[in-house]
Amino acid sequence: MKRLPPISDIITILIIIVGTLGLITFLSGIFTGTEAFFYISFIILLAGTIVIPIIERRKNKKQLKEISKVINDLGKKDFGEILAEDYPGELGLLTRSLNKVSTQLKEDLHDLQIRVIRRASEISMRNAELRKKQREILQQNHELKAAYEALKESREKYEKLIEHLEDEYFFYSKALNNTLLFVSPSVKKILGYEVKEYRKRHHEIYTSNPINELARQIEENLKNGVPQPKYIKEIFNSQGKEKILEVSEMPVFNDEGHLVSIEGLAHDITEKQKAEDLIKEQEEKYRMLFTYASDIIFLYTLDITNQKLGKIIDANNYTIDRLGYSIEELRKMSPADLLAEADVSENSSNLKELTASDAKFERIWKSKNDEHLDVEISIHAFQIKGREVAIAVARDITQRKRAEEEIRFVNEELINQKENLESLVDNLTETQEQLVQSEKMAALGQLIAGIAHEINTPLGAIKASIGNMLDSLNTALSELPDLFQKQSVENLNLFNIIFEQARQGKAELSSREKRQYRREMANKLNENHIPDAELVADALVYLELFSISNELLSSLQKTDALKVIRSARNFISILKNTNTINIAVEKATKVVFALKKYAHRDSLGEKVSTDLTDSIETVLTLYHNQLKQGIDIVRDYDKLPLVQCYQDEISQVWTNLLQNAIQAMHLEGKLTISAKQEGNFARISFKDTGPGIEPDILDRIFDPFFTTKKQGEGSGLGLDIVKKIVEKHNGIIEVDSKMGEGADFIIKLPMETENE
Amino acid sequence: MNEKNRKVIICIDDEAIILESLREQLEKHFGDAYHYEVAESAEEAFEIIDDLEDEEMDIAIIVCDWLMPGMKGDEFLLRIDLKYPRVVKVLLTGQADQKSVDKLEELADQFTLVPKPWNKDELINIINSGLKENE
Repeated sequence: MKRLPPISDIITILIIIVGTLGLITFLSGIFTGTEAFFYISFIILLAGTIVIPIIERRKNKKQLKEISKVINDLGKKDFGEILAEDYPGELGLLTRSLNKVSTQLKEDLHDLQIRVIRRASEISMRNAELRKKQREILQQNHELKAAYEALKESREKYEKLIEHLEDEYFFYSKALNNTLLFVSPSVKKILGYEVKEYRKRHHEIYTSNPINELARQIEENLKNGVPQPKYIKEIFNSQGKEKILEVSEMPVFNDEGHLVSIEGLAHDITEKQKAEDLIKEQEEKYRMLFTYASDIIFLYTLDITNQKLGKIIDANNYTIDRLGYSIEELRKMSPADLLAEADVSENSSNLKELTASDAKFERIWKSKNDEHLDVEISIHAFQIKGREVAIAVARDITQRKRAEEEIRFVNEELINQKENLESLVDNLTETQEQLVQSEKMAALGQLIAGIAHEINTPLGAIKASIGNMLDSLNTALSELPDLFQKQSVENLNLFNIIFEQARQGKAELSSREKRQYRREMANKLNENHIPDAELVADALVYLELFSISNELLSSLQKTDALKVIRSARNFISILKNTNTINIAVEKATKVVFALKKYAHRDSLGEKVSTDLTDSIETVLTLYHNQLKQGIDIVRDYDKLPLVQCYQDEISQVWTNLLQNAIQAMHLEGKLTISAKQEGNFARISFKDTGPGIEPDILDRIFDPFFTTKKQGEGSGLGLDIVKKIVEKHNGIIEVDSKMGEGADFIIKLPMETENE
Repeated sequence: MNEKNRKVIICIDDEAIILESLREQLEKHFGDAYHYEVAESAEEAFEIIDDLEDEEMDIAIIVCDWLMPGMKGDEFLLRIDLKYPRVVKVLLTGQADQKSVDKLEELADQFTLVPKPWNKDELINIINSGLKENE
């Protein structure tokens, strides 16, 4: 088929033409120097570059449209179906060509496709192979690297090992005559000797350690070609220090089987040996500690998973001694088997032996011969080669327990005793109160006895006097008519004289004086021959006529004196007895009044204004019957203001002091009672002339129950009561005493005004 | 009546009112059959007794108070009993202290205890029966 020149070629030719024209014009312009060329060239070039392409493009566009229509149709239909006749002119030619090309292309394409597929498959296979190969190489590379690393490491290790070995080992070879044939240089490191020096001296540096004997023996044996076990020798290093070497020596034989030399390897085990010795020593120490400790110590196994106690493994001597089991017996037992019955129930569910803790606990164990012992246990659990074991350390506290028990018992007893004592003290306090009360009652009883005497005496006098009066009156009355009718003048005269004298107040005369007068008068009457002189004198004394005047004497001489006098006596008797009754009543009244004052209870529990000397006097009155027996009371009273007192209690004070004084003086002596004002105090003192108080008991006399009197005579509470009463009044009691001179009890009571 | 034939009654009491009334009481009863002496203390009584011995007079009755200054009645009567066992001895006592009374009653062989205030007839009976015993 004929090919048309392409449209672009035409355009290119046009451009070249225009361009050439332009260039020529331009060059002409340059060569001629004419600007006109220059501008023309410019316009030509402009036209060429702008106008020609525009024209070209429009032409091309038209052609393109047609081509694209053909292609479009071709696209719609299969090649061949487009008939050349359908398209006019060139297009038809084109179409045919295209159809032809299309067919050819189809065939080529098919071939190509087959070839490409084949090729692709080949390439794919090759690729896979290559990848595999690559992986292998990578792997190899990796392995090589690791191997290298390992080698490097191992080399370092070996280097280190060698280095290390050189620190501990040296090799040698020796001839049978002990000459060293070879020594490795590490001998320097280990023993400090240069090889040469060591070779020279190796046989002379043994220490005196006995193990060297065995070493020499083995060395000798080796010379006989008998392999020997490793042995130990001790030698001095270059510094003279002991070094222990573990030596392995091997005999070396030649081809004929003759021993030629000995190869040796010496290992420095000095440090190791030292460490081992230390451990051994420590082990020994601990073993001793364990064996001879005076506590029960044993080891036992534990089954932690099942929470069970295992058997005892080991026990110290004390355990065996104390519990009485042999070690073999103990090894068949668990710690729980040691528990006494008393302890089993409580503890079987609560096996503290299973857990190690710092807390100690107590157990009651039973020895083989059933002796119970209290122990205080601590448990420490640990592992030995993976086995759970525990060590129990038990201290025998039986003695302590017993002591504790005893202490508790003693303590309880003490508490009991204390309680008893307390109740005893309570009882005593009560008893003391009772005693104080009974002491008061006793004092009162004594007082009453005294008072009874003081009242009974006037009563006796009154009773007798009344009887006498009645008697006298009866006689007088019966004699009265006779007296009035028959009396002579002389008799009446005598009567007068008697009555006159009798009515005159007479001084009180003692019985001794009266007796004296009676005797004198009886003598005088006898001298004057008056009959019944004794009786007349008696009667005259009764009539209180103590002297016989001449008038009386003559009157007596003239009459029946005795009869007349006795008649008169009846009348005088009434007078005298009346007088006696008066005196007696006065006495009794005084006592009753004093008693009333003493026992004044209206103001009980309240202080009242008290005249202290008055209250002392009252007590003296009540004690009159005792005092009169031989005690002089000397009163030295100042006028004291009234003092606020518990009256009955203050009377008690005087009573007790007075009683003490009376008893001290045995009813004979002088009691000086003084009452003075001393500042704001009333100072009352009872000073007796008794034997005094012994100095060594002076500070105890106020103590309750202290008494110098015989048992049963005094309660020992008198002065205690006094002291308490004085103190209740905020007063002070003191005693001043000199042996042989008596005692002086001084009481000082504060004087308060009534307002206070 | 011869003075020396009369026996003596002695009353002893430190209280004049007792001494006087007692003496009068006894004198009214026994009259001139006896000689009467009074003393205010045991010591004085001893003086009287000495005098009576000088005068060779016999003592028949002693009535004595117990509680007196100086020697007490019981001691006095015991002394008298040693020398004059045949004398009737009465101890008058005003003491109500039972303990003392019990103690004195133990000496009933030596003297008779009569409490104050005494009954005249009782006292006389005691004396009379005493006198009778001694006859």
